[in-house]
Amino acid sequence: MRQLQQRWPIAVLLFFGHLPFLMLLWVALAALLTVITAVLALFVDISVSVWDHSAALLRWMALFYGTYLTRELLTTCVMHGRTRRAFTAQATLFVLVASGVLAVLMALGYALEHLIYNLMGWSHTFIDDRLFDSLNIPLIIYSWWGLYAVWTITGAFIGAALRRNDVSPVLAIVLGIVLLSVLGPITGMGDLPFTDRIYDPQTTSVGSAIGLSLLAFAVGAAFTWLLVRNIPIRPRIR
Amino acid sequence: MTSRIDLEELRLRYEDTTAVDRVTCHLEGGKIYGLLGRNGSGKTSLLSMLAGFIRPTSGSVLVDGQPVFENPRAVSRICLIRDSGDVGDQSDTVRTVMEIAQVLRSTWDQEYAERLLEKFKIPMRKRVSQLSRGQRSALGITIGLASRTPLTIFDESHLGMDAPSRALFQEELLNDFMANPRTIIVSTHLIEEMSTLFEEVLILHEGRLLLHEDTDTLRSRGAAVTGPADQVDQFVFGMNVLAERRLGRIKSVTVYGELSDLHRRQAENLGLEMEPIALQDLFIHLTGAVEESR
Repeated sequence: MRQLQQRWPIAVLLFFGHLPFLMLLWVALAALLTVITAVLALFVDISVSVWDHSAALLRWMALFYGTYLTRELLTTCVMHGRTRRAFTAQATLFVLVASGVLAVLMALGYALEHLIYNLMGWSHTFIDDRLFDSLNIPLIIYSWWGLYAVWTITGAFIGAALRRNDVSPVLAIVLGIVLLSVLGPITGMGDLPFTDRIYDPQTTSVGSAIGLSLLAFAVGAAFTWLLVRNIPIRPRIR
Repeated sequence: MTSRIDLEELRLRYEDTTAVDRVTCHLEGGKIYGLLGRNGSGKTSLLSMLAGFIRPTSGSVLVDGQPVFENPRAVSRICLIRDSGDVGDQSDTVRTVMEIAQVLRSTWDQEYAERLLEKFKIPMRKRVSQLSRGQRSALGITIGLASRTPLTIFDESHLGMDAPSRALFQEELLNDFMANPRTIIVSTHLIEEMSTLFEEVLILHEGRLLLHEDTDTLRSRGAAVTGPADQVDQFVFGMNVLAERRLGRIKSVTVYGELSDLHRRQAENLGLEMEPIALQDLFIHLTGAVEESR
């Protein structure tokens, strides 16, 4: 463990400090959605997956967490004698792996929900845009993995732009929206409320979609690195 | 472990402003250096480049012969604590801030950090946002000292701290420096209060290095003469007077310029007391004199 900490301190901080916290958020979300479903069931017939509809909220959380990484945590890491390069490499790895872990948890949520809906005799249907229309665990994991990874890295890009004085925040946000609009729908979960779908996931093979998601993530990471590589660490104004 | 510092023609520009202008200096290390300068003189910019927080526009920063910016070997040996408290997120507790430092700093001394927090009376469970201005400064100082980096820099880190806390900071800084020799740079506006710590002093003015000198040599550049007002006035006639203070018949005058043995004997004969010049008076004179000469 000590060797790991010496070699990958930022990754250790993220995996052992942040990931458990993000997993706890999932537990809290699961509890909250269970309560919401139970309350809804008292008044209406349940016919759609409440878990699936929570995506709108979760992707914004991923985006916000991404901005936190480059706006706040980067400063702390540089202040503690770590380079921007080490931060970017280890944080990018973390985003990729943690997105996968959270995606597995999301799939677990779908499975538990499916079980409850079956017991209650409710129909378990998903939003039309999804790549999956039944409990297809691998496809659910892929969709959520892509969503978390792409939205978090886009948040990191916007956060880095906001931290710099020489990049217009408006331009950065517009670029972020373009990134999500173009690349997000590949997962079947990325269509923004204010942009039309420009990509039809139903006509593309899963293999291509995964490839495109990885490409989307790589583009987001490259954009972020362009901003982070020489970012000035100016005093935080409190 | 100490660090040698070499700055060569160092320059930093923000759009049309030159924050640091062709600064060249060499610090052999293993000492406590005082960095003085008026507001906007470029101290924070200079220290930020030294710690790799900002990339210089031109020139070079070497610590132990190695360039600093984005060099993992160099930056891991440097700790810069600024007045704003970059030590952690505002929503983090002090305990979390300590844990983060422990993970990220290979030279971190947790036991010492906990001792310092106790001395500064900072509760571990409190959030950074709940700390007073002075407590946040003390937290920054704790992190700086416990980092045990060969180059530790405090940039106005004691802002907002009360007098007893500042005294504790000075005591701890000195004790830890004696026990674990390293290179320490302290930037401050509290010149007289901190000056006893400094072995060498650097004065930055409008982005340029105005002076880099041994503190004792600097103090010998003038004197504070105290005694009956008439005798003092007689003695300092024709000299470069920097400051005057009067209490009843007793007057104290700060003069600039080296005093000869003849002057010293004359002062003795007049019954005047002579002390080294106050660093603050000298600083005011030097930085003011540059402006007057324009």
